[in-house]
Amino acid sequence: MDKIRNFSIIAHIDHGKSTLADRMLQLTKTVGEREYHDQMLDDMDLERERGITIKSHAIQMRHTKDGIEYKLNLIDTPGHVDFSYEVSRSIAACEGALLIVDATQGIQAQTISNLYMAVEHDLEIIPIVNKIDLPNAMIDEVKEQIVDLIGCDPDDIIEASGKTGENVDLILDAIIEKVPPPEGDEEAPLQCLIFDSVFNSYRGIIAYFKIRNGTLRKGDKVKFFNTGHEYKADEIGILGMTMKEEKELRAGNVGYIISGIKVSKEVKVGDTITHRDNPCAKAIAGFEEVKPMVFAGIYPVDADDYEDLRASIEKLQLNDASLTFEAESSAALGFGFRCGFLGLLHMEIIQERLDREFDMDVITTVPNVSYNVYVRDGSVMEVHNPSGLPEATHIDRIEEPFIQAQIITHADYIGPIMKLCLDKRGELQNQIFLTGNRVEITFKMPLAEIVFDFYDKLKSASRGYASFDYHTSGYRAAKLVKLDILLNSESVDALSTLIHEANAYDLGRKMCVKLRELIPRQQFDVAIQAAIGAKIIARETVKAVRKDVTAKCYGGDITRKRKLLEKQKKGKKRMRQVGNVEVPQKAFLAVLKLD
Amino acid sequence: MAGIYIHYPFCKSRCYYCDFYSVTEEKLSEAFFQALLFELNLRKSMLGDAVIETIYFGGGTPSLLSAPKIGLIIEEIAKHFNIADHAEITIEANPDDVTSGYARRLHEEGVNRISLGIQSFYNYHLRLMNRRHKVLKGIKSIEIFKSAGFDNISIDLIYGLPEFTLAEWKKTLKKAVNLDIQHISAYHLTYEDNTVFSTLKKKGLLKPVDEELSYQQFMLLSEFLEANNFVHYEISNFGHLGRFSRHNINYWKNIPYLGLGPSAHSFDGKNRYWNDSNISKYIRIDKKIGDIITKEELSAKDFFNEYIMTGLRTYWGIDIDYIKEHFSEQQAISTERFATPYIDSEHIRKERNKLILTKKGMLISYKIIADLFMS
Repeated sequence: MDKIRNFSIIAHIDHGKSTLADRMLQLTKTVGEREYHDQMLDDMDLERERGITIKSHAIQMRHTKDGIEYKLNLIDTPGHVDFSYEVSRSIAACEGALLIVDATQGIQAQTISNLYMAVEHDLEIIPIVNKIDLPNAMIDEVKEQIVDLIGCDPDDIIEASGKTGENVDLILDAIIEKVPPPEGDEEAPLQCLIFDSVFNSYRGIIAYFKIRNGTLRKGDKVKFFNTGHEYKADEIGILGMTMKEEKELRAGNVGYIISGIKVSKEVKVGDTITHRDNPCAKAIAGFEEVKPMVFAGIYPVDADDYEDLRASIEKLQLNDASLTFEAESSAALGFGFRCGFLGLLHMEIIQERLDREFDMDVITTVPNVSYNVYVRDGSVMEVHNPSGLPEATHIDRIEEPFIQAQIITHADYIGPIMKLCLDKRGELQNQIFLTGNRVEITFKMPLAEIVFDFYDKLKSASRGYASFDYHTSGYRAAKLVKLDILLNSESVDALSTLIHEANAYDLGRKMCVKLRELIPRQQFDVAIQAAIGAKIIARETVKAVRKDVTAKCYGGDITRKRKLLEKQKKGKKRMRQVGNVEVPQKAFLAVLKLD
Repeated sequence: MAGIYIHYPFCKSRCYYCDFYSVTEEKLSEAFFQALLFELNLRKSMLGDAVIETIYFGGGTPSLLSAPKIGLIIEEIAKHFNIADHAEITIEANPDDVTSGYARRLHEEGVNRISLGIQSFYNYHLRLMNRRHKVLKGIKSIEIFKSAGFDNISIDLIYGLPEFTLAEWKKTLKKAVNLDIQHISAYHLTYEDNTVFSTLKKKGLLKPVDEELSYQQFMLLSEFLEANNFVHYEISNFGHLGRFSRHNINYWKNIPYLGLGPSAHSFDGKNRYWNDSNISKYIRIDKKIGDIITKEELSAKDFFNEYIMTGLRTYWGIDIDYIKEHFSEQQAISTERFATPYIDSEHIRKERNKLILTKKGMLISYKIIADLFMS
């Protein structure tokens, strides 16, 4: 066990985590020259393109120091706030962490929150300033930030470059020297922490775990503590660039298990694997049921694709247990699914994967968070769909989820960011000057407020110089109303939103204006109204088209005109019929793009 | 049954709204004439032994062709085809070219229908459009044709011009009716690509009329002419009973036609063809006629869409039973389904199994036609 080191990497997006990991894989010859490509660990195209890690990965490297060979298990974690629970489980599987900070960027909000998480789990932190080869690297300044943050000795900070490979060997040595070997009792009852799972179309669900205590052998009868399901360990092994089967795995090791599980939901990140016949007394602490935070309807553009869409979402769910869905129908959009996501990025990823991997054209409705609705009869309902809101007279009160938001930015942008957060019903909690002109601002704000257009606005308020992270932080009472949009007096369910009373008028007005721009003129006037209950709060009209091109259509015109009108017809395919009004699909996303 | 269209591509000057193919190098006219006869000989087989019901000289400005040349062309057609006894033979004429001698000779050569480019009864409009003639010359030319024995005269009028008032339009229509002609083609001005007008519009120098005014002008046009013995038989065409343009109607009824001359289109019942819009290429056609012709075979969908497009533009409308019979039951059902909102909003009138555009519907025919297309 003392030859094992388990570590993860804490880094902000773009700070060079994947490149540095690539270098370590090359240096330890885990990957051969011929198999090598950039971002080895990110195997989804989407991950490579966006430069983010969506799934956790684990890989074992071997490195020799002072004549002794060590097994280094790198547990690569997702790099976004939406996946902070997954990150916490990966961190819980490690004894150390590399803190990578871009020498040109400095410390970012997300780095700090993940760092805190690592510190909470008593991980040994190895600080690294990366990208020192870049001409605009501010090595000393960033080192100072790191010292301020973790109180380490400046000499402990490794100056490295993933791009050139400079000092990557020092990092490997530091991992062996500083990260403590895992502790655990090989003879104790089995206790393995699941930190991720993947779906393989031949093998079913493959769970990744770290053994805290005990020994797991091939063929063992195992039990998953929280789900209570029992399986046989058909195959176990360690993770190199490919899976390597083993007969047994002892405490401290990181590995995989294949046990004929078909449904991703059965393998919950954070769950504990133990032996059926000699179970451990307690599950590993920290398990949480992952709950989706953001909900939206996903509908096929072409109604005939409904079944294909279902199959596609089911397949995605095999790989991504945090995605939830249930069938729903909309008068405007037909049959589709109400999907739950961990956050907005997660939602975007799912949309994009549906498009890329399954070639599905979908319409996504306005995202909503999940509200706790206290009904007068004493019951509590979870409502995440405007249509699910009970009659106003039956509601006692509604509570909405709050988050603790951390923003790190330059002092220059404090003003606009404050204004943005206050406009979003934020409450300032704290403001700390980090180093130089860098400021960390902490806000408490409703999650619902960041679901709409917060990221874009933050970006423009800070000219891109702000990083943002959040954690959920309880529920608070909220004065919510259901804002309906009516087209020629018919309510369009897909455009309804639940919104704070104070914002309803403004949003209603903006939505009407936006829809007026987006809805093409029809053969009659189209009245666009925003309403709260029976009360109309805004109105716009799209005037009827009275005349289009008439002119002539003789022998020489027929082919050209037919083609012209066929083009026009094609454009219409992207329209949805709401009552007697044709609505372009982009209108359903309009509310996400209000200024 | 079939028609022949001859495109004479020369003009003395270009009108600012016109996007028909035309050139001003009249010196090529003789070479064109020879090439035309050559093309006729080369392509006559397309129509088989169909009887020629209509011949149409369009352009360009075919009234720049001398009457004897017109006669020669008709003669050449008669050599290869059976021309029906009461064939309609039309020539488009520019008022400036009309003399009584010319009119008489045309009549003698067998031309029996005149389409006169009157366009407007206001000189300032004619100037705006860069027309050659003046109002009085236009009126005079009508009289000349009548005196020469023509009893099937059509005039073209343009409305929806910038700053064109409803009162002016009403006077125009009254004048037209008083001229005792049999047919009127009235076109709302459209800004076609590559015309002077579209350039002026893009530069902001011409302001298209307000939609509401267009609407009123169209309604006035239709109602006024209907009250004066004209049938509004196609969006832009009005005629006395028995004096509709048979040549144009045949376009809308899928009757084959052979189009000769640069830019001319042809239809053989299955395929559409069009000649390159290029006079210098055209006068060198010799045996490589294939070089200037593009052919496109119509699919069932194309046929359907053309049926919808041409049918809905006319007062005969489209026939659900015809769709059932020639396309499919399913297509008939979906056509009716797409038509329903327009029936509700009174843009389409349903008469037994026919769907016919109302006046209101004619004004938004593009939208309705596109909606009823097969996708």
